[in-house]
Amino acid sequence: MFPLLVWFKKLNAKRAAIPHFWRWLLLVITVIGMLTSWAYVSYLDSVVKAKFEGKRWALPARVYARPLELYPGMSMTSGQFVQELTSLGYYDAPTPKSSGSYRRKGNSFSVITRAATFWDGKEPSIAFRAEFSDGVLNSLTRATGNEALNLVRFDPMQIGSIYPAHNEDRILVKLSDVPPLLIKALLAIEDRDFYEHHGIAPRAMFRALFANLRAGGTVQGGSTITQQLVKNFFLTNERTLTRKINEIIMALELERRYGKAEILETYLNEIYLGQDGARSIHGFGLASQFYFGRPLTELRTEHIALLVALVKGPSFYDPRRHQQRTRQRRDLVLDTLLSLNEINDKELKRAKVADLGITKVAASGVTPFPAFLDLVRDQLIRDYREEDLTSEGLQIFTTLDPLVQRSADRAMVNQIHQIEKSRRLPPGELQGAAVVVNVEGAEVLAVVGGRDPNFAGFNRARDAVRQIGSLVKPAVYLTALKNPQNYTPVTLLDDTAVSLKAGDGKQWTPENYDHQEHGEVPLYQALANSYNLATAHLGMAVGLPNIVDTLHALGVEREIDAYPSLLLGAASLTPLEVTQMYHTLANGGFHAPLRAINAVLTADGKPLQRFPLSIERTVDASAVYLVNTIMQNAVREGTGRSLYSMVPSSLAVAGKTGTSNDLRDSWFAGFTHDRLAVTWMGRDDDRPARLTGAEGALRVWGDLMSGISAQPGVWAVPDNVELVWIDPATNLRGDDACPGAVQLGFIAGSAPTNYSPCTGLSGTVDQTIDWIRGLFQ
Amino acid sequence: MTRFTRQPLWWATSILIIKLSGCATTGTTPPSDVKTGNPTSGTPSTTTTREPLAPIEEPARSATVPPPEYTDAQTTTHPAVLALLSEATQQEASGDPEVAAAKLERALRIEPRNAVLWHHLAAVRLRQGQTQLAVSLAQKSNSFAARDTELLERNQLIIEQARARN
Repeated sequence: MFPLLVWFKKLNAKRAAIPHFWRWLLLVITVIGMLTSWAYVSYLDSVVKAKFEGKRWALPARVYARPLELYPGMSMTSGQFVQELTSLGYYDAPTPKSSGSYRRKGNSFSVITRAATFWDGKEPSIAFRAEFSDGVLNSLTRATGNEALNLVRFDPMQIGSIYPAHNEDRILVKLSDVPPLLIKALLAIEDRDFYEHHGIAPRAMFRALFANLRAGGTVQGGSTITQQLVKNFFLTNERTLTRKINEIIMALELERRYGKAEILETYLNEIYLGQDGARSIHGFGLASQFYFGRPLTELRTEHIALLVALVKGPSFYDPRRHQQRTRQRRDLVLDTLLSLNEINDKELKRAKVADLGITKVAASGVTPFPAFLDLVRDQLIRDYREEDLTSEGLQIFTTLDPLVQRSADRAMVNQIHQIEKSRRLPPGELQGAAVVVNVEGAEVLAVVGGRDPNFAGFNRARDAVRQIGSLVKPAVYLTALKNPQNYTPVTLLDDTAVSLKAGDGKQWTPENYDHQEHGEVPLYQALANSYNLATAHLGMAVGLPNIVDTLHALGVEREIDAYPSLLLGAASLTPLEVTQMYHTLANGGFHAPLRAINAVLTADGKPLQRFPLSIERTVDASAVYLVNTIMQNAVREGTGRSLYSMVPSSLAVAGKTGTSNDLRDSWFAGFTHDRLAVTWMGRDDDRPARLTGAEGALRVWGDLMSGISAQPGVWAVPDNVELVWIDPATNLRGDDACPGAVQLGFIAGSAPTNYSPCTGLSGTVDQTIDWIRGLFQ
Repeated sequence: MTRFTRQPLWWATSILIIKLSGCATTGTTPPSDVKTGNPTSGTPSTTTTREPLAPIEEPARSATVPPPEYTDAQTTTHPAVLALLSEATQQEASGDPEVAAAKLERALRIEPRNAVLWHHLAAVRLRQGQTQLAVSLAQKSNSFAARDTELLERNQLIIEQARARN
């Protein structure tokens, strides 16, 4: 202000002729003008400061699949391994030198992993060799020195994000993690004097101004990196003089307050570099993943040049749509790098002939596994606020196994297509759902929500409440077998016509699927063959409320009406609820809430929350064992026997088909030792799908399981269970000599004591001696 | 209320000293009509180890429970599992039981039927005061323990101590 007054005095002295009043008016106006400008600049400064010092961006939560863990002896084919590497964006290099690269020679691989942070610690990058043969990882050694490795954990594959409303997405990078060549290329193209200027480059601005005036439009930009950042960060896109002035003031303020490094880092993270549907791609970190499927640190010269080329106009130079144009601009960037001696001739030539290197399908923000993501969101929403999920950049580590999920997706698509075609069903009407879990860990490995697994819409696995048909039967038989004094696998049941009072007071007369009565049948055959009449008799004898209790003990939370029709599956559940119910059987009577998430970490990798395994014994292990072995029978000889045309019988699957009234719902629930899968097929409009459990859902199950590894259904025999060979002709003790003899489990003391004539033995077995002998088998 | 003490040193040494032994019993007795050895699966055991058990913390005032010792328990344990078990032990010793539990869960993904792993997880939960879970995990361990009496006894001890604390 002071020099201004001096100037005014001088002016007064020289021009005394100007009337007194006007002189004062001029002074007041000038002072007001200056105060206003000062206030305005301060305001802009506070805007800059507020945004720059607060949280700069809302970061969506990132959702990851389970990390691949390699260990010698694990089941995996080299094909599956390549699939994993590819979906992680690892690239095939002649000699892997940097993380995220690999080399395959037949069944042996050299790989360098990426470092990653997990809930239980950091995993450094490691260079190793792996050899596969016959679907097994045979050896795992360090790349140098041949030291044997026990375990290698990969970085996890991202399977989705939880976005804020504005759909801006970015992966934050630190300046130190950005390849120096990228920064050099960026500054060479966008702002050569970045390290010299104070926010604006007047000469460049004037040059651009004249060029634009001459051309009658905008042909040249004279903005510095700082100005570009201000434009993106604080201002709208309008082209007005006011905005330009604001831009200049804010650029100067930004430079006055913050260092070059901080401005550059913010720019690298803010810059708009592409569009993926509603999602906008910001920053070089995400752009690298979006275009090349790998992190920034793994980019080659031509990739870097391409990203820098995009800055000018990510839509005009969209490499997926305008390859020629983009290539020209990339090469221009490469030429500039040569002229600055940042690369040599040889590198220039190599880079220029290289492809754009763009992944075919963008690492999309739209998850390829929408049905699984629904489960993740359900679980998160119980513990987190929506705004935290969409802004804090949380890292969500889920239980999804990409290999299992892909197998499930493929099986659903294949089988729906085949079944519609071979059975001449109206195309497009049949729907399906599938859930796969890992038994001991209670972890959901895959979820399919419909016939088009990649389409995010009605999630039938979670939301379709459908009649479960015969899938209820194991609960009926389990209720009976819990009382070994009354029921054993060979107890004879009446498979004869029955008339029961239904919930609505009317008489209910169920029938068998084959419309036959089978007379007296042993309990195990009634379940294996899914006889309705025998089940109705048995269910009424053990008591409907007891069966409802068993269903709840198995983990069914939905209210179940204790009507007789329950016995044949009038109860309705979602495929996910059925999975929870069968999980308790597969898990030997231990109920464990299924999990889709293992852990949550903060954006910078600090542990936030874990979802640990929790189990509780809710059903007697021995009775569960008996039911499971009978369900193995159902697959071997009963309603599920067509399964073994799809998977090897050595898998020893315990399973149950389910079909609801008028063939509306087709179900299969089956498990091996370590994998449980539940599949469903039907129509959304609840009209008959015209498929039994075996004709529809079972086929999806078989197709799905044939694509993944699983341990055979072999369970530890509970202490108070003995395995006894039974002659099916007499339901007495048998042996190898008896045709069709089956081995069944009996709770101690409940097995038949008499030998069947086919054994050539006579009399009764001494149970005590037999039991002791069993101990030493 | 009974006090439970930590024995990190024992934990550490118990894992480091792994004796190799000839035969192994697994937790299962396959029914003879079920063929094992599915071609698409299988976890071949590369090492057969004799595995010391986790210490069950004893009530400080009780003299009836013997100190932890090497047992006849034999499990087919994968080196990857042993490595994770060892890390879990260190994590718990350094006061991070939840990281220890996470490591044990990772190990269980590799060997879901390893009774010793379930036992360790039960012991971690007991020391964290999650008594009901400890009981269930000990029962789970029992279901894979076959006739490993030492392990069965140790699981029984967990169950009793957990119930006593309720």
